[in-house]
Amino acid sequence: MVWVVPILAVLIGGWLIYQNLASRGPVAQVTFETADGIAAGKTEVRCRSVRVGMVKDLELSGDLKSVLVTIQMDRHAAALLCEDTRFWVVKPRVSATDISGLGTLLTGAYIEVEPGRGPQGPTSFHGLEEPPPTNRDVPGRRLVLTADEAGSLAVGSPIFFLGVEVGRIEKRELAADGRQVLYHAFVREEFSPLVRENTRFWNTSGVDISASATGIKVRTPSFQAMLAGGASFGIPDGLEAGKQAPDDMIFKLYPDEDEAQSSLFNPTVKVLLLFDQSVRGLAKGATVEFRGIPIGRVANISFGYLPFGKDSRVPVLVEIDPALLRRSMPGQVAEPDDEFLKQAVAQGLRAALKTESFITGTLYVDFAYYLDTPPAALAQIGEYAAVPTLSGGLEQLEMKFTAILNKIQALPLDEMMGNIAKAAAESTTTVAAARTTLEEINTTAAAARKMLDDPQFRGLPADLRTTLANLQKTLASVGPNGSMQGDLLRTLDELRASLRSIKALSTTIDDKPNSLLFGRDSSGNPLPRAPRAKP
Amino acid sequence: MNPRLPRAIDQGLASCHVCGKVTPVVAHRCPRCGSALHLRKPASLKRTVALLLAALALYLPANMLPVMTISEVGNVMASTILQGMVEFWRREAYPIAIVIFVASIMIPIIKIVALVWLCAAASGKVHPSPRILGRIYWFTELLGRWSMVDIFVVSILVALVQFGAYMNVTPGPGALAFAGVVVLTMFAAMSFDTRLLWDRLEILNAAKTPQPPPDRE
Amino acid sequence: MKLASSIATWPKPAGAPHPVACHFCDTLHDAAAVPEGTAARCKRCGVVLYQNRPASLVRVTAFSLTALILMGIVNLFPFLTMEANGIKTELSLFRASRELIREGSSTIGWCVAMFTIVAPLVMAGGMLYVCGPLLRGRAAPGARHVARWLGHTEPWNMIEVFLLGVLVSLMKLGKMADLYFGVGFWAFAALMVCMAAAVAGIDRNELWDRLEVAEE
Repeated sequence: MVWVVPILAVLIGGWLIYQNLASRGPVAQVTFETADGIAAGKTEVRCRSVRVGMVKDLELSGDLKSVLVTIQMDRHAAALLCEDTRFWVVKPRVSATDISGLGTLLTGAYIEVEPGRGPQGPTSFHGLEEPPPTNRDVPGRRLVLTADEAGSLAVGSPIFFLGVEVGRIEKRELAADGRQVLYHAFVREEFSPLVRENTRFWNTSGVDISASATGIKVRTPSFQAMLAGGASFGIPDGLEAGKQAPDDMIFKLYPDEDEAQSSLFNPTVKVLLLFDQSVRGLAKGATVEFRGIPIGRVANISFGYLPFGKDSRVPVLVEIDPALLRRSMPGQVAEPDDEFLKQAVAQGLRAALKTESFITGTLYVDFAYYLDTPPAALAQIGEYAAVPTLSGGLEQLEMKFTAILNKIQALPLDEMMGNIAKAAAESTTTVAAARTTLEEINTTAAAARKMLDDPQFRGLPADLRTTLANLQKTLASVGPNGSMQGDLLRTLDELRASLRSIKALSTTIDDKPNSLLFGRDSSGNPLPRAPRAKP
Repeated sequence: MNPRLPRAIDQGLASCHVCGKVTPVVAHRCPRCGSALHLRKPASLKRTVALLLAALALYLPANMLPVMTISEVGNVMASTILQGMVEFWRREAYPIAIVIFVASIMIPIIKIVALVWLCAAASGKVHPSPRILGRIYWFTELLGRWSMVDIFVVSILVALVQFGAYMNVTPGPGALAFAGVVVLTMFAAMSFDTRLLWDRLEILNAAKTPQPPPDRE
Repeated sequence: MKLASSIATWPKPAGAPHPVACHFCDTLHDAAAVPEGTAARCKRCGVVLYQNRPASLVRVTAFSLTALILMGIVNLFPFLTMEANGIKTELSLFRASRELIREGSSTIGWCVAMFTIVAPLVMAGGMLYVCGPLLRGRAAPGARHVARWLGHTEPWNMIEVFLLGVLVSLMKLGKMADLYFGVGFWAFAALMVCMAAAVAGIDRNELWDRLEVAEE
């Protein structure tokens, strides 16, 4: 009876073992370069965060160059082992190109498996050293972003739209010409309609601190973006959304949002400019303007653009948005860019260097139509079109100055000098004469002094006094109480009276023109008199 | 006690402590199981006292030194048995605190005290009833092993809490001392021959009553 | 006088009745058969001298066999799994002592291994080795030595204390992590029961009497 107990134990034990064995799936062997983060019996294998297996064993490969990881897959996951199934280790990766898997710092690394689509069967795989980019089959928009510098944007960095993560950077590589960094970005399907042709992308990594008159503004993106870098995109203010962007469209990655917003151009055309002057003060990234509106940027300054030895002019590569240039010539919008440039140059479009600031000496490139320049055509140097250039700014000033100097040189300076000499000579004589005059004055003054010192002269003041007294008397007689004045007044009165009588006469004559001849009241008619004012 | 019961020692018979067969002690080895034959456990009192002293010597470090060290994100906290118990009490896990207190602190002391008392009784210093002593002996032997609970708790925690920098438990020197205390008291109890108590009783009785002529039937 | 049929006793060596001395008070008795399920007590101190357990051999054999099987299960399957913040750690009997050894406390680690793995194994295995053949009245070679070691090992079997330790640890960790009992845990509890049943299953005197008889 008691034997039931061991029998029961055997049965239960047997069943448990059977269950364990039965739930085991196939054994797979994956080769990795390093077993970093993997431990036998501990590291799980997951597919989309669901456990599908466990690492059973680790051993060095025969040639000691890789590690063979034996994985015990679960039964229900047997179907995952297809020909192009991919394995990679999810562990904390912090590197220039990748920040991911930070959660595994706490939970421990695990191996992620992405099932392939090929036929099932193989049990030997080659593990990936880095997480693969999003599968081609996953729907979404794939775009290319170009940047001048890698910066803090890395593989796996998120892409945001209005702060919502909509995709990620898949791959980072140098452009073929080695001058730009290309990012392959992936935007998920449900968000891909947000990317338009005139969308701008900008870098949102790091912390944005800007100080201005209104204060200091600190802008921080999400923590993940700060750690792993991130890019955002949007339509710049003031523009309407364009068409949806197709796959593999190339966009420029701006360093920050302000630049993306302020540059309303999408520089797509690169133009080479050859300047016959020093470009000191012209920096990469300097503005290219047209009538004061920014239409592009200086991309690079290098002698490399010119075929060797021919020219001593400085080549400057600029990228411009021809759409903004076109606004100057309406009616030709349908033309391709190069045709348009050709025509524009024919009509006088030239590039010139102008001074942006006299203090720092920075320069910028200015495109403008010059109507009185010698004709020139759009040249082709290497792979770029070359717009003819004019010297400008300080250069022009220099030229003007030179012109002035030439003019000055042209002047009849010798004659002038001769005249001046003559004038000088004359003045010398004048001066001599003046000198003599002065001397005479001096002698006169001396004589005067002598005279003054003369005692006879002393009596002069007494005489002068009497003269003055007489003068005063005379004046007094002329003055208001003087007799002369009295006489004058009398005379004036008499004059007045005379005038009055003349006036009466003239009045009478007026009334009766024949009174001169006939006197008054000769007709005998009563004359109306003004009524006397009765007191 | 009046029909004076025969004792094996009086007849020179030794009971094998392994198999229980009674054989004359002169045979030196048990014919059944081959173990050495003794009338009484050799140097029982001496051994017991020595082991008890050793256990007592270890008891202080066992409770003063930390049994385990918990490091939480760099915050290292060494805890002794007492501290562990206080922790439980504070967390209002009263039953567990009582268990720890009884098992780790009380039982070893009780055991040591009991054994000392037994030794004293066996050597005539005290005179309680052997029956009571017997019960005490049986009780302490039963409880002795349960003091190991704390050691096992330490080992389980050390094995489980292995979260790297986040949280980590490492054993401390107090654990070894404590295990030593438990093992030594167990050995001490095993060395003690309870028959000595009855021997002592015999001697006392013999001293009290005049000796009758030996009756060996 | 009891009916002979109700006294099922074990085969005794020749020369019965054999003397038995109380291990407690050294009083000499004559070992007489006692009915099944009862115990013979010392006349002087009342302590149990020997017992007559029904079907004791069978019980011992069965339970020690079960114990062995259960030990296999305990060690094959996870005992206790703790999950905190997404990190999982597993506990097994081996790990408990192995971690202690690894952390530098090798003495303690070996002690724990002794008390929880070695002692029960020796006990269960030994009992099976000794009692199994005795069912047929035969003694396995070296059975007496093994039986002697069983006697020595018996006090060092502490698996029930370990279980209590597990429970105390659960209380300690329960608040900060999720704890899952594995198959190993339940097997361990069953193992504890089986070991207790096996050790209590046979009376010492009976075992040795049988051994003595079997050899002969």
